[in-house]
Amino acid sequence: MQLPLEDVRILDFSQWVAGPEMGLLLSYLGAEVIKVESHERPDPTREKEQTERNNPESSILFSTMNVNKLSVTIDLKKRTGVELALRLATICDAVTENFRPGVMDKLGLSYEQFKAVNDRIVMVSVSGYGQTGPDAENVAFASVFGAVGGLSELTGYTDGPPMELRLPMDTAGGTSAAMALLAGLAYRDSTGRGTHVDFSASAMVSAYIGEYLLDYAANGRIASRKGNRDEAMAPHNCYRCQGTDRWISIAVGSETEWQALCRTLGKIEWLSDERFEDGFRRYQHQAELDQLIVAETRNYAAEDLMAKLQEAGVAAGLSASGADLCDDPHLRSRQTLLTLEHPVIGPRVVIGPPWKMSGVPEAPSRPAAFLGQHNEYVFGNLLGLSRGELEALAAEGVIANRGG
Amino acid sequence: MLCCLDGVRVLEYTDTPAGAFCGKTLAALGAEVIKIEPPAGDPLRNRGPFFGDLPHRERSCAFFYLNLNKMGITLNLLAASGREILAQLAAKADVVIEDQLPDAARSAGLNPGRLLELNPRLVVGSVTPFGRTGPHSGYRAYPLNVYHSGGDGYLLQSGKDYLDREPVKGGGFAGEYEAAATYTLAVLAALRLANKTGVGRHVDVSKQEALMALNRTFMVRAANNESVESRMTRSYPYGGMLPCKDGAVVVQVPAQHMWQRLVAMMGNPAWAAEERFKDEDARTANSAAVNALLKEWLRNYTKDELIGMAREWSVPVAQVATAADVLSSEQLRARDFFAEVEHPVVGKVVAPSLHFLMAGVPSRATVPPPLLGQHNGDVFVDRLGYSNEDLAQLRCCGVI
Repeated sequence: MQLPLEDVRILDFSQWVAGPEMGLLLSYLGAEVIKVESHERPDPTREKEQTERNNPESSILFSTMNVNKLSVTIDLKKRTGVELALRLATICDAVTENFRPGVMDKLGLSYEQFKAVNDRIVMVSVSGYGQTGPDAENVAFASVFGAVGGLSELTGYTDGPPMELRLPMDTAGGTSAAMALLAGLAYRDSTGRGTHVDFSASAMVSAYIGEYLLDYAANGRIASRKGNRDEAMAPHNCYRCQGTDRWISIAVGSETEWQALCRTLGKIEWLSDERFEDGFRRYQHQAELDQLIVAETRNYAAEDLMAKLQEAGVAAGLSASGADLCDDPHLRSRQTLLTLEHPVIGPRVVIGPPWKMSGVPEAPSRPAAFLGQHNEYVFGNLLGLSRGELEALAAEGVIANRGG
Repeated sequence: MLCCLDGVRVLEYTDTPAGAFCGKTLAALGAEVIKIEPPAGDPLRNRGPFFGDLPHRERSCAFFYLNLNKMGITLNLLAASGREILAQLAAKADVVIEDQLPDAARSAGLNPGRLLELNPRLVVGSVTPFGRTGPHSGYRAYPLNVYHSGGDGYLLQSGKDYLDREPVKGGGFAGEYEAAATYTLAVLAALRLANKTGVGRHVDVSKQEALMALNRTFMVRAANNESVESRMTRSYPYGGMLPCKDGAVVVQVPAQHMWQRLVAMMGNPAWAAEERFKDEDARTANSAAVNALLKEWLRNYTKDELIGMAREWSVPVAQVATAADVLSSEQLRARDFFAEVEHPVVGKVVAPSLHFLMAGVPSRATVPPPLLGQHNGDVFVDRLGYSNEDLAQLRCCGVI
C-alpha cells in the first residue's frame, strides 16, 4: 500500500462545491471516487463557466471540482436505479452526499439503507445546518453558512458592513468533511463498524470563531469587525506598495521585530518617538503608525519589500493575487500546481494536493470525466454486471451513456 | 468528545492556532493528546480576551478553546535534557504535531528525519506558513500574513464603496482554522497509512497552499491565461449581503428554481417577468438592478420575518449572526454543539464541541484544557519513571 486511501472506494452523490471538494481531496489521497449523476439531474455546476455554449462537458467549474473522479449515471428516481446504487454500496467503503437533508431518505438511500447492505460503510452527509434540528431543511449555500455561523459579522472593515463569504466557505466545509470521513474510517478500521457522519457547515464556521463565543458567554462581549487589526499586535495591517492594487501585510509581535522594521524602512527616528516606545503605545497609536508606514511602503515594489523585511526578521508578505501565486517561485518549487489535459477544455492548470508526505508517491491526477464515462467499468468490471444486464438497465433508462 | 481515535497517542508542540486546533480536533476525536509547553507556557495563554477580563495564564479564551480535552506538560526543548525527554515520549507516540519554522523545529529536537529514525512508525506532522521546503520555507508569518499569502484577502469584497481600501483578512483566526482542517486531514491520512503498513511519514502542510486551495477556481486563472480576479474586478453576482429593516441578511440564489421561489416569496412583482432578469446570466449582467429591487423589498421586513418566510418558501436567505446569536441558536443547541466543562480556575464554561455528529460512535465528556504543567506527574513519573525528586530538580534547572 503506497497511498493512504488506495484501498478505499467512495460512492459520491455530491454536487455543487462542498461535497465535490471532499471527494477531490480524498482522491488526492488515493481513494477511488465514483461520482453518481444522471442525465436528468447532472451536477448543476456543469451549467456554469462553460467554454462551449451548452456543452456540460466544457464547464471549468465542474472540471476543477471533479478532477480524478470516475463518472457514472444512475437515474435515482427509478426503483431499479436505487437498487443499483445500493448494490454499488456493497463494494464501497464510504458514501458521500450534500443534498438538502431528507432528499437521500426520500430517494430510498438513507444511511440505514446503506447500512443494511453494508454495515462497514462510512457515510458522510454535508449540509448547511446538519441533518437534525429546527433549521435542518433550510436551503444553504456558502454565503449562508458564513453568515449564520458568525464569521461574516467578524469579517470586514471596522467602519464597514459585514462581508459576504463565498467559495472558501464551501471548500473549507468540504475539507473539514473529508477530515471527518477519515475519522469515521479510523473508527471503522478499528471496530469493524461503520458510521454516519452528520456534518454541519454552519456549525463548522461557528467552531472557527470559538474564542469569540467563549468571550460572549463569559464576558457578554459581542465581537465585531476589526479589519486587519489584532487583539494585541501593532503595526498589523496591509500597506499599499508601488503599482496598482499592490499590498504588503506587515505584523510586528516583538520589540526585536519593531526595531528591524524601523531600520529596514530607514526610520530610526520612530524608535525614539514616544508614541511608539512600547507595544502598548504602538497599539494605542496604530492609526498614526499605519499612516507613517504607508508613506514608506508606497515607495517599494511589494515583492522587494517583502524580501527585505523577511531578511531582517519581520513578518511581511504580499496580499497575494491569483497572478502572484501562479508566478511564485516558491510555489513552483513545491509543485503546487498541476497541468491536466481535458479532452474538451484543453490543458488546464489546477491546484494539486495541499500537503506533502515523505515516501508517498505523487497522487494520481486525471481530468474530470464525461458524464457516464465509467458506466461500463464501474457496473461491468467492478460490480460484475453482465453485458445483458447492462443493456437491460440502459434500455430501461436507468443508466445511460453519453447521448443515451 | 467521540471515541474514534481511542488508543492513538499524540504529542503536540504548537504555538499557532492552526497547530493547536489540529490537536484539539484529534483530542475531540478521542486521541490522547499531550500538549508540550515551554516552562513559561504557550504564548497563547497571554492572549486576550480573558474570562472575566482578568488577564491570567489560565484564563485566556483562545487558549481554553484550542486546548480542550488535552493533557499538558511543560518541557524546555531548548535544553538538551528537555530534548532527551521529548525523544523518550516520541518513541512511544503515534503522532507528533508541530508548527515551528524549520530552524526552530530543529533546535527544539523536532527534526522529522531524526524523529522517524527514533520511531519508524511515527507520523510527524508539520504545519508552517509556507511549508518545509522552498525559498520561503523560513519566512516568518503571523496569522495576518498567512491569511493574505493565500490570496483570499485580495478577493474579499465589501461592496463598491470600499474598492480602494486595503485588502482585509477573514475574521478572527479564520485562516488558521481553515488550514488546520487540511493539516488534520493529512495527518489522519498518514496515520492510516502507518497503521496499515507499519511505516511512518513526515507530513508537510503549508498554510498558504491550504488557503489557496480553498479558492481553487480563482487562483489558477492567471496560469490559464484568464483575467485575474481582485476586489475590483470580481464579478458581483446579484444577492449577497443586503440591508433589511433591522440589519442585514444574506441572499444566495444560484439556481433558477430557487430564484423562482424567491420571486414567489416576494409576491411575484411585475419586474420579475422582465427579459433582463430571465435567467442566471441575465441577472448577473444586471446585478445592480436586481439588488436595487431586492433591497427595496427587503427593507420592509425584519431579519426574523425574512428568515421565517425563507424557511417557508425554501429560499437561501440567512441572518448575519453575532456571537450572541450563535450562542442562542436553537439549531446548534438541538445538536448538542455546546459542551459544559468545569475548570478549576475559571469555573463553568460553555464551549463549542465538534461541528459534526457520528452515529453510533461512543462518546465521553469534554475535559477542560490543562493547567500549565498539570500532567507533569502523570507523564514524567508514572509513564517515564522519573522520581518526584528528579522532577524537582528538572524544575529547578528549567527543564520542565
